[in-house]
Amino acid sequence: MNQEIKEALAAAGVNMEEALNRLMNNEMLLKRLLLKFKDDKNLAGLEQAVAEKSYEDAFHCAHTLKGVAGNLGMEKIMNADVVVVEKLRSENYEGLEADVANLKEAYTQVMDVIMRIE
Amino acid sequence: MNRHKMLIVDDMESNRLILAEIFRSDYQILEASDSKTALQILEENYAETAAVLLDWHLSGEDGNKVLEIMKEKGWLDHIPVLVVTAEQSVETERICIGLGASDMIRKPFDREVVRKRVDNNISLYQHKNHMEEKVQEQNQLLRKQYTVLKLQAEKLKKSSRQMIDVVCNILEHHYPEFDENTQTVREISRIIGKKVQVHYPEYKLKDEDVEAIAELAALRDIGKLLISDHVLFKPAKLTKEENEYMKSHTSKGCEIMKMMKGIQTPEDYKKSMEICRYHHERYDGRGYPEGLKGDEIPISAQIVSVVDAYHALISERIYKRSFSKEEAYYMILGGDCGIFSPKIMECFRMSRKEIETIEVEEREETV
Repeated sequence: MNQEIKEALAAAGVNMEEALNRLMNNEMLLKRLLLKFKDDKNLAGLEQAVAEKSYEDAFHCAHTLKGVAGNLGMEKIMNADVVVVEKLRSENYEGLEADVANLKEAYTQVMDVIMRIE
Repeated sequence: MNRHKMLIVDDMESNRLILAEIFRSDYQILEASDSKTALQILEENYAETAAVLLDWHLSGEDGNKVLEIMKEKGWLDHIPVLVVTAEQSVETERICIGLGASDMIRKPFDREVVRKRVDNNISLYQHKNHMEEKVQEQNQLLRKQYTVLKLQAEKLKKSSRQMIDVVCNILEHHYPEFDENTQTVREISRIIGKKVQVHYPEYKLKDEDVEAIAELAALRDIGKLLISDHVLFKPAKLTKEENEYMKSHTSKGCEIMKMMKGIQTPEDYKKSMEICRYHHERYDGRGYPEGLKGDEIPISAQIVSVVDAYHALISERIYKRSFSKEEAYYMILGGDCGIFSPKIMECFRMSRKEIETIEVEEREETV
């Protein structure tokens, strides 16, 4: 990963230092995991479940995403996701769609950078 | 036991990779994406696994199952399970610890904290496992030593019995009175002893007690070795004084047994003393040397005393002819040759057939 990508990731709310630290400073592994994150279906799953009002599935997806994003230092995604998780947990669905949209925005920002990784 | 493997259970590969990265320099990492695979892996690697890192889903079902089965199989006693979860709630923590997880790791986690926490748990369990192995080793050692001790006790008993056989043989050879005495007396004592054991449990006789009484019965008159031959073999009625002197063979027998104390087991020694000293006591208290009454007379001596009386009747003595078994049986029952407890009499009555059968067999042997 070149400097430009790293800076772009940081700008998208990824705490690079923390992520690398967690991975024993193994940059290759971080790259691999970021690329793997492209295939993560949890956000799509969350959106679909919310649209279908199957909130239990939605909760599961949001929760899994929280763990994965958290481990990779994607703080912005995680913070947006925590709002969704807590709403689903307390079964308070007011403004949920806006929160999911908010999460998706953070998610897209990160994903745009990941797409540029070679 | 070398536990050098670590199992990471998480359905998200990236989560497994992150944890694996932290520990792979110290452990061989095993990975499972679901509970079924995890349990399979544990089945094969149970003895080499140092720790399990277990992802905890919201539903908890998967992690639940892993913990429950590990507990069932006893693996939780030897392998620490650390639950890894993105859940912050105390409730989850309560459930996991309640199911036997040894610690919690929260996502996102700090590398150093994870490593330290896992290391701490592993060393705690290693210490525990080590102690358990030590205890097991010690137990095995103790068991082994116990077997050796038991064998030695058995050996001591056997050699002391052999010694007694030698003494009995000498008695048989030197004194006509003891002739063909040993085997018959032992057999009759064994038969009556077994009846007492079965019908009168209050005497608490065990198999080995009956056996010991039978073996040691042959020693009852060993004190006669210290009685002068002119009294012992006097072909006429003894004077009152001579009779008193003769009676001292009971306590003289004890003196001889005391000399053999070291070669007998404590139980055998106790019975030998009882038999030598008290086999002329009478149930009504008019026997000798102490005039003990009823069950003051040890059961060993009670048994041997009826055997002694019966055996004396069926043997030829310098002062009398031998009686037939039938005559002897009725003389004992009639109280002509001593007073015995009703219980002993009952056992004697029940033993009649068996006693008469051995004697037939023995006669056939000698022909």
